[in-house]
Amino acid sequence: MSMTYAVPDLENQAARRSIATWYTELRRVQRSEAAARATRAAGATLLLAAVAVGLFLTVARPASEILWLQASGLLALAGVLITPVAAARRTYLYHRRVFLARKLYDKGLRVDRSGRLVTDEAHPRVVLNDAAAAGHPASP
Amino acid sequence: MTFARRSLPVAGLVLGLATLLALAALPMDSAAQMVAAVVLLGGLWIAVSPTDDEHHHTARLIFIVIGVLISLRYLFWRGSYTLYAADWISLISVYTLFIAELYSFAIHALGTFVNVRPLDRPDLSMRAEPADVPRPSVDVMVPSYNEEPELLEITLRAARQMRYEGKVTVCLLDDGGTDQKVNDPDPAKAAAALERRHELMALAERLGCRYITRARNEHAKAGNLNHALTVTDSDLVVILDADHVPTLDFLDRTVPWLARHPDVFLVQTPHFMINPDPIDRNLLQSFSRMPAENDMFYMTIQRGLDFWSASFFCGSAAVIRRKHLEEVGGLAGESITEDAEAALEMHSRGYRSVYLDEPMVAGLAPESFTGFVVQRMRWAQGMTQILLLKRPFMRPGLTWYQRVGYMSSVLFWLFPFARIIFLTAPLAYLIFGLEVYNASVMEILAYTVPHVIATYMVSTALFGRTRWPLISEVYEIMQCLFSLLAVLKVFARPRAPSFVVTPKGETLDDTFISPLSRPFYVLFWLAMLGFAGGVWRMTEYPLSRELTLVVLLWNIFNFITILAALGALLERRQRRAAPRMPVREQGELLLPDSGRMPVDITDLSAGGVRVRLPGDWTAPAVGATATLSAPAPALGRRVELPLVVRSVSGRAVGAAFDLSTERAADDAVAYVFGDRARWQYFQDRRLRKMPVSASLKLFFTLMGAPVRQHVRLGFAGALRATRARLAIVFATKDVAS
Repeated sequence: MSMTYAVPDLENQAARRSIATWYTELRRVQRSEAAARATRAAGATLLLAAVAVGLFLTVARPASEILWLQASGLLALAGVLITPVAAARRTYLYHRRVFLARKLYDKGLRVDRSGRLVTDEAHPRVVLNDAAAAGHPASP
Repeated sequence: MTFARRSLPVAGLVLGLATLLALAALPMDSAAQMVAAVVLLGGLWIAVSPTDDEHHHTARLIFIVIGVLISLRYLFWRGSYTLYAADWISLISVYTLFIAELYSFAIHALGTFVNVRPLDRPDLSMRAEPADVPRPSVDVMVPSYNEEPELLEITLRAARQMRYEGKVTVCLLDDGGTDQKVNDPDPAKAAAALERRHELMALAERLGCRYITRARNEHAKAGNLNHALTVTDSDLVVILDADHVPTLDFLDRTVPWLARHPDVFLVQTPHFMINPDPIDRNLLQSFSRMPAENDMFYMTIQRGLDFWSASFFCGSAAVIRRKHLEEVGGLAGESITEDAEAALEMHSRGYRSVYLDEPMVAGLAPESFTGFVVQRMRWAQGMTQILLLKRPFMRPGLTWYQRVGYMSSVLFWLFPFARIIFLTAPLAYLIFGLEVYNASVMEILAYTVPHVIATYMVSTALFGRTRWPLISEVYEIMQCLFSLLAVLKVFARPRAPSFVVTPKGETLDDTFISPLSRPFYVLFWLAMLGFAGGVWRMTEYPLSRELTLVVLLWNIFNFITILAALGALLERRQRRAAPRMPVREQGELLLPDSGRMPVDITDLSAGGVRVRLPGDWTAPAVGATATLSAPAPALGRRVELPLVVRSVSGRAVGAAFDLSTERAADDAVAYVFGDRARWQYFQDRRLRKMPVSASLKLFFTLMGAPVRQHVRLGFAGALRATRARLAIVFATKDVAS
């Protein structure tokens, strides 16, 4: 029987395994994306602070200690190194998350706000949760 | 101690504002301002980054402050250095534009204040309340004027089936069959009114509802409700528009707030629309994918107002405590938005309102652009009346934040003034050479561009999930020309406007250009003229080329929104009075010969259902009878709905409900409209942010076809008119000869 968005047959071992794999990866990607986002913000904060301090020193206090300028330069360097890497990682993870979510969506599933894998319906049923993803599917 | 507790936040706020103003007024040259703006925008970007989740309250506060600071610096610069002109006409233009900018900033700032922390109310259920908590009695009032009985029947059936342990009386308040209407001097109108009265009386009797009418049609809907208040006596009053169908748990989830808190006068819920509004239907065609136009108000702004205890009554989908309502003299007031006015009165007496962001009432948006404009003009006029007659900014009894909340809601409706000025200002420069904006390109880059970017970033962060970029511009342009005249009339005669019923459930037999499109054609040609003027100006005045280029970009933006407006003015054919809602559910089709066939239910409407069959089953023939068996979680059981197959297309089968028995009709309404989770699911799927680039792409993709249609229909119309004129001329000649 071909159904457009039927709930996956959880008795089918292969289907269950691939869904569990996608779900586990999706949860990991979600966590990593949040970390990458925070890292990007931290890097950008460093860069911005360094630029602000540097500009202030050069424009308003040109006679300041060179040490301050060097410190802001170091901060800027850290920011320049961290920000693009974190931004690129976040972009990659975003696309990966969308890709995995799409795969689950095609199977009539989605991850809800609590992080559980549920059927994509108005009255969703829990298919897997984080603990169960280790290999113990919840009863649908 | 109490004084200190109350004063400290106010003192902090005043100190903060003073610091903000001092920073905004700090003098800098353009280069320094550019550096400051870049740093501030960077800070804004960092603060905005983690706010996909709206519970990052500190980050929200930070980006709001940074955004307001950037805009304030811009306004200080504008006010200090750019307001001059060589002649009086230019000077008037310069100040007009500046006032429009001040207004826009005020609305933006008020909006950010209101939405600093949208409130999420917890779920309460009357069934979970202890048994000793009294269950207040409820009158459900459904006012009607000219709606079809079929439409009313659905609402009444749903209202009758709401689950509640206390006493519920459903009342149909018929203003189309009043004594005044029945005794109309025109015999045809009188007969129609009498027939309507009898028909609705029979409907009410059949459904076990109470039919109420009155002697005269005074004060429109508000008068109708006030009359009903005098002949009913429940503790609580539910008000539902004729097309607003409640879910089964509406009372169960709203009444606890009133039962628990005696000072709560109102529990308002969103108006969830099950059909696209005309702009969405004609242009965007994104009903299932894009947040609806009113989602921004109901899913963000009302929650923001609720945090400040200033969420207000929206005329329907709400429960009101009778005692409080009677204390302020009922709903009739001085404005035609009696709902908001009554809420203002009750707020100013110290009572509280609650807003529950759960779609528990499904309604209909106006189908035609004319209906849409009628509705918006009423809102604009009513809110302006409240501004002029009720003066929320100095209303005794309101807290200062409630005043800010009301002013935010009321002042918004003056947007037509600003929108028209922003549309015409670049034309004033490009066509007439009026120097409305005196700034160098460097200054524009240092002040104007950061202000525009900051405003956009803050708006997106606050409202991005419920309103996509550029959508507001289109909706405002579509309304501004008509609302401007309506609002001007209120300023001239504040008590003159009268209530006009919004047409609902209309059908449109053909695709046609809206009769209200003429002003938009004028705007279109003016924008084109602006481009021509810009090119001429570039060649004739090489010294001001950079400024001309900037103004041309501004004109391009306006032109895009005008084109989008033209697309939305092409009224698409709409033959279905009962809109279909897409769903993703399973059920079974019980066929007399084939047994139980598992099906996917793909859409539902008041009249029927569309299902998708599995591949290995034979589709039933058109005209065949069947039964849809589907789980109805809201009812706590399966429903068995008799159907008649109306269409078969591949694996898709369309069927109409056979509503010949009361049980089937009740179950159909409860199944289709009774489930709150279904509406919530539908809404949640639409909520997401859209980058401006994607929004622009959407616009460009959609605009081509409507523009071509305009040209085609315009030519066809002109051709028809010419033919008709020629026919008249020839006929006249024949008669003469």
